[in-house]
Amino acid sequence: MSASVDRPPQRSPALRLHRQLAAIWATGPGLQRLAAVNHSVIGLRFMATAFIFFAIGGVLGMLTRVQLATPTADFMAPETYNQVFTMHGSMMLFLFAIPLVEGVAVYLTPKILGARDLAFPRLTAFGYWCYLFGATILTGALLAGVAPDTGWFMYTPLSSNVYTPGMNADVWLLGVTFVEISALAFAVEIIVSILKIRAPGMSLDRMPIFGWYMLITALMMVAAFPPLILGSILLEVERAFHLPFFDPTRGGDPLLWQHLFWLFGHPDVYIIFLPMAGVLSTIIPVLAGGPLVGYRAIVVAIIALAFVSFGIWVHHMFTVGIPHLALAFFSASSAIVAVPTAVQVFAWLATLAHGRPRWNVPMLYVFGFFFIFAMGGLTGVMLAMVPFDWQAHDSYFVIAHMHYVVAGALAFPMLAALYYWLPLLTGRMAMNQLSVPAFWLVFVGFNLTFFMMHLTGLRGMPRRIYTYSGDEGWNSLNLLSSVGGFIMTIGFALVVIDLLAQLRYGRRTRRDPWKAESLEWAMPIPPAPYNFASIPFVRAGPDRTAPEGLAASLARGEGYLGFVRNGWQETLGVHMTSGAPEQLIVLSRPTYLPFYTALATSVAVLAMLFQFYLSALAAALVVAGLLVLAGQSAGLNRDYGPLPVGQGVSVPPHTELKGSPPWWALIFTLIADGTLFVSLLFGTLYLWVSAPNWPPAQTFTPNLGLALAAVVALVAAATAARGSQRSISAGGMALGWIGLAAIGLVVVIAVVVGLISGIVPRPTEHALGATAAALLAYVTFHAGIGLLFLLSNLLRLRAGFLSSRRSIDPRLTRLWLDYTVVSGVIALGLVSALPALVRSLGT
Amino acid sequence: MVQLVLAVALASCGGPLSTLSAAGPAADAIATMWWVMLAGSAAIFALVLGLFALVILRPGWGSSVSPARWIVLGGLVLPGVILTPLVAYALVTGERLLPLPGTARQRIEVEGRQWSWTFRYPGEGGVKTVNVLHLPAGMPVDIAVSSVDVIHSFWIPRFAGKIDAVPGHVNVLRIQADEPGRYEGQCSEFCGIGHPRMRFAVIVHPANDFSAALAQAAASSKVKE
Amino acid sequence: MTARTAPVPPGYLWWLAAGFLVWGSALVVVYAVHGIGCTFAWSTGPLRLGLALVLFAHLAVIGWIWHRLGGVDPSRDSGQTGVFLRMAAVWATIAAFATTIFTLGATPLLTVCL
Repeated sequence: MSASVDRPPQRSPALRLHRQLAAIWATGPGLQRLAAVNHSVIGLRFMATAFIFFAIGGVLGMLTRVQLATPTADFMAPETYNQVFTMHGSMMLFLFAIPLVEGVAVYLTPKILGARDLAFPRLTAFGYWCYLFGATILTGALLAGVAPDTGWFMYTPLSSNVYTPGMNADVWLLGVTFVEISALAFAVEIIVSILKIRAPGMSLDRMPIFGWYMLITALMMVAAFPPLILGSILLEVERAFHLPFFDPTRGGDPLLWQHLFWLFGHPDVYIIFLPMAGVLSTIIPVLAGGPLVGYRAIVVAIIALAFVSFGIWVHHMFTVGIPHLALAFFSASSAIVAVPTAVQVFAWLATLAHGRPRWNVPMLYVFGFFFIFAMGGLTGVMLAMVPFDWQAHDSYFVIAHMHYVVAGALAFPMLAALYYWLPLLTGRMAMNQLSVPAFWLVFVGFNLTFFMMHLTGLRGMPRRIYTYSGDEGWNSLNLLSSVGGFIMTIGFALVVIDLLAQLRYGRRTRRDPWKAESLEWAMPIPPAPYNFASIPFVRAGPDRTAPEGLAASLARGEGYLGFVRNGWQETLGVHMTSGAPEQLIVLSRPTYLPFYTALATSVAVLAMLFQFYLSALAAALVVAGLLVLAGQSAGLNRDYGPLPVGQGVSVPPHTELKGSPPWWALIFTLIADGTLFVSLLFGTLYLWVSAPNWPPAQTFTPNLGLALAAVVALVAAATAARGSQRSISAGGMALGWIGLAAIGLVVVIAVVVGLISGIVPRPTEHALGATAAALLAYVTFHAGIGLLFLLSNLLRLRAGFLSSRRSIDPRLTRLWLDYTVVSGVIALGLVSALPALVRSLGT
Repeated sequence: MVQLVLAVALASCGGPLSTLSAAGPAADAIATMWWVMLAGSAAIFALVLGLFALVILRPGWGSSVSPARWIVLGGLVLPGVILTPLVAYALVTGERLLPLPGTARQRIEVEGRQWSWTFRYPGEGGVKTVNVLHLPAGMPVDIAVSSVDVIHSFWIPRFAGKIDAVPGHVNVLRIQADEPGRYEGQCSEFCGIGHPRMRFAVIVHPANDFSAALAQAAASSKVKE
Repeated sequence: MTARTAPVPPGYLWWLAAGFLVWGSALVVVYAVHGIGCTFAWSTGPLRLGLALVLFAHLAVIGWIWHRLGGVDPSRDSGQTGVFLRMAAVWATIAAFATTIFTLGATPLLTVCL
């Protein structure tokens, strides 16, 4: 089914193919933009929205600088100031940094890897809408004067309902969790897309380094966000329903919040850094005119960085009273994390040394990065030394360090990326007359603002104070910082003007102005929604994946999938390591469903915020229903067998294969889920060992009978799921097995709810009860989701989406239930063991 | 600009809350550590930026050094050689600052609350003072810190690092003041609206005068109550 | 990558993570043993010995992984991709070994519980 074979003038096949593909892949105009699922559209939306929040967050930061420029200023009341600084941090980190990184990844990854889109276009869209709506809730709270006001890391007990009775803290907990769930969805999608959806021939050793960076970043997100999501859920449950996870008077511990938060918070900053380091690893070789030095060393370094970054979170807690021996290994780890960073820095220096670097606007920002990030990294090593941190913690020294690393690691590379890749979108280059002065204003302003803060902190100024008396010796330093802030703001404004001017008046350029010869430049300007008219076979990598002439050849349809078929949006799935073509992936067309699902989720979040819990439950059920509905149209409703994809190759569609994207997506989702579960286990054991007011006066007798019944029912459900999988693979209908599994799950839910009601002390009285209830609720929730899986299987079976060849659904259900069994056994086991653990504490 | 900043910095390192105006052995040890790290950092910063300048401004500079050597020397050897002694230095210093049991001469209990500090002196008859801490000069004192509401942090920068006041826990900080005089401390964990005002005065008395001075101060503050 | 060599199975990618997963376990177990030991007031000597044993056990496992990966016959590598992945896994394992020593090596020597 390829394009017609007559040989009219050269451009015609390309143009015809373009029109055919555009008809299938384009998003409609007007309101239909709400139905967009295309990665280029969504990626640009993420980035544009993120920049808006950068501006708002920046204004908030400037407001604090106005207030602090002079002592005893009354520019802002303390209540306002507390909301402003909390929102500055929260917005910058949750509504700007992560979404920007997501946007860059969503936009660039398929292009760089030679694919037409990401694995789950509707999920990409859903992620964006969740971000937008969550961000709107937070911003709305700011405008209404009820924004969170206890700092961006929300330490308890200050953020508990006792000391923050208003809804401010709930806004943070619910809003941020909403946004973070979208980030998790993005992470799972990126992992699957990088592992499975690349151009054929792009084996892992030929994959451009950006792919490795995003893969590892996304894996970090999968492990880092769940502890925060768990912590937020527990704190919200404490605030709303009074279960004392963090309340020391009832057996909770405020330090548990800090552990859960920083378990997320530290990897978070590397999650922000790594994609930008990926940008640098991509740009620097091109600007130096040579290959990237140390590709394999960098891959090993970022793997090391990813792991070590999870072992250093306690360096945010060096002053909470943890024994020095424990602090020692977090300190040593925090120091050694500089090594993989240094490996990258010297790989970049070596790349520049072995090339012929050109001096242009992106390179100017690369210089900015080196200067600022080096300084931030050095102060980071200082702060890693425990005694020094005992003085510098919670002072302006930390604020200085933090802004240096974040500006160094994010802001400057981001601007380098903008100047480097904007020509892909616009076909125009920067005009140095504005760009260079803009850079220097930002650079000088930034250094003036934040360098002073090192000194301010060493002279004893603590964080988060809305004013100071004036006789501490901080006056001139604060004034200088504030002046610097204004210079920096003017600089950023000039950057915005420069970029807008570039859109209109920039020098026009031909395709691939930097001579990168990489795949993202081997496409029309601006990129078509399908990226490549045909997909290349990659013969060389990781540099020069798109040698001269490839772009034209692909446009003529000479690669894979250089045709249209059945109106499908098609791309190729490959073998994970070798890049051999393996499956034809059929992607979803534009649909409003992600928008509606995000809207329903917002309704649930808002209902919880205003404490209409029954409405929230109803909205949650609507969301569940919409998710099941989304599953109804996924995949194909008949068997096709292997289909030709060009170059003489035929591969089955993804529906008829075992290792298809949904399978891998569930695996990584379960890893995220497992991280949340392990965090819950950790929390329970932590409270047992560390929290005050243990043991409680009374404890429950473990009901082993019920626990065993729950386990048996779980195993029965999982076995029935296996039965349904075998039956469907054999061509049968499996209704009996599905019914059996459903009954098993209903029994599980009933039994576990019974166990929860028998907990003593009651969950609201002591943390023992609260943690036992949380563990059991986890099992119940998973059994409930299992029921949704079964419902979806049933509906799709009857609609003809399942067959002996297309049997991914029961396999997914079986995997989910296997996980539920394992986590259920552990949870039930721990709950049953808790009374014995409590007794071991003595009186 | 760097010279200007350095001049400003060195000329004005003092201040009542400055960590660099050490008035006790702990703060002194930490300040020394800071100067060592500053010197090292300045050298490394100059090295990295210098290398960057050279490879950009002199095309071909450094191309005779193999890629592997660049990465091994810069990415592994350089950090390894610097970080190992640094971490050892930091751990030894940390060990020296520990409140080893039986080596303190006094124990003072501190209770933080929104937004004031209460000090109790069990070794001096259980008297209490509010927002003024009395210490004897020249001897190690254990400060046992806790909170009755939210997390605060107890910090006298000129004497030692800080320790958090966490409700439900008692954390112990070892401090020693070298000389009698008046000093300042402050809360350094955000604890709500009154956080910036949550300061306390520290009055250090000669060791042999301590009991009498404290009794007098406690009595006169009781009169005011 | 020639057409004739068998592709590296996807599960092989776990080897890239194996060494550091053991390091992570070492960190968690040391932290847990110390925390539990201090709560239940174990005496210093046995606690230190316990920490040292945990450290050595984990180093032994990482060493075993290193040996297993490094000792694989290169002619069985699946082409360039196989060589790349194996060398990356070896170096990641070496990095994990060094990290374990650097971060946890001083642990049995420090004052406990304070």
